Amino acid sequence: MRGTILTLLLLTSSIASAADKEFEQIVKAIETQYGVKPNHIPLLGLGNFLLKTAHPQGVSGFRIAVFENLDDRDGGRDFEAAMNRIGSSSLHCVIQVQSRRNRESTYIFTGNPGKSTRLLVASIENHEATVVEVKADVEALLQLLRDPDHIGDALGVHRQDP
Amino acid sequence: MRFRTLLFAAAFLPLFGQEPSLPPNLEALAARADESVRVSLDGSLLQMAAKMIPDEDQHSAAIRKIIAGIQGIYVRSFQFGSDGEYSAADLESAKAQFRDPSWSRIVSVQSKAEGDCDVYIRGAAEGKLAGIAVVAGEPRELTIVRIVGEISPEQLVDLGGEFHIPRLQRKERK
Repeated sequence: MRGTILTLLLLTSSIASAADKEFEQIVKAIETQYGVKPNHIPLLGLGNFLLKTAHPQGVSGFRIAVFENLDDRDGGRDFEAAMNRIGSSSLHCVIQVQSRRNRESTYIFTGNPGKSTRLLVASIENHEATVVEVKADVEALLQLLRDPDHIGDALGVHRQDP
Repeated sequence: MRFRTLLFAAAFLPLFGQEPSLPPNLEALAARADESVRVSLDGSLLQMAAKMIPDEDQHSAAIRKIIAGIQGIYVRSFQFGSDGEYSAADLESAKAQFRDPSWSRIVSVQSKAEGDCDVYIRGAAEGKLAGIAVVAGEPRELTIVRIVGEISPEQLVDLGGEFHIPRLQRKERK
């Protein structure tokens, strides 16, 4: 019995970790296709640790990668192909917009909406790219989307008015 | 053992509906389009989206009510920089998806200036609708909309402009 429980735990944890790989996959695809590394964001690791332990406003995880100076001479087409391979049974691309006119691509992925869910947004515009992943209670996420001014508060980042 | 295996399989089955796939020639249009949009929302996500619609007016309330009966919205749209970027054969293959006997074409508009627009419905038991589809081919834009679930053509008009569904106009009766 104990063996069965252990096997079950190992199996579910491995499935969960495999299901959370999309953020890394997208970051890797940008690095590979555009020959850039993400900018270093000070104290991001500490902030994420606090989010995971304190869950302010229902947010339990936040990851961001910001890229600048993308070399898109021939990376764009291959990046689209790479993005089309992203996704799993727990994360699906719900909206995909590609504008060659404005040289923009946006991909929005969401997880299964249970009590909590994941939202993963990847956006490439001219020579910049941003990948953001938020894990939050569905109700908290909806509240943040309804009232985006308070996203910073939820993530512990406070706006400084000029 | 078999039961346990089945239990495992059931627990990790994808919870999302299957997005209808487009013929390869239509998918290839994305490479030529100035802008391409893909929207794929299944029932559970739609219910989540419905919660985000504010209780502001009658239109919002109507949208919420429509969404409650829908199991999936799938939109594929291509915008082109000039006329003639997609062929008549491309448009035909978009329409061919709905030549299945389960679908019935209820509206077909052909205009040289504004393009073609066909509306199809899929029937279900007890006279209810199980789906609705729109294929709209304008000179510089091709849009394919498929909605799965209980929705009437009238409600489709109300949904126009939401989820990248093209706006449709009611024709006033004289």
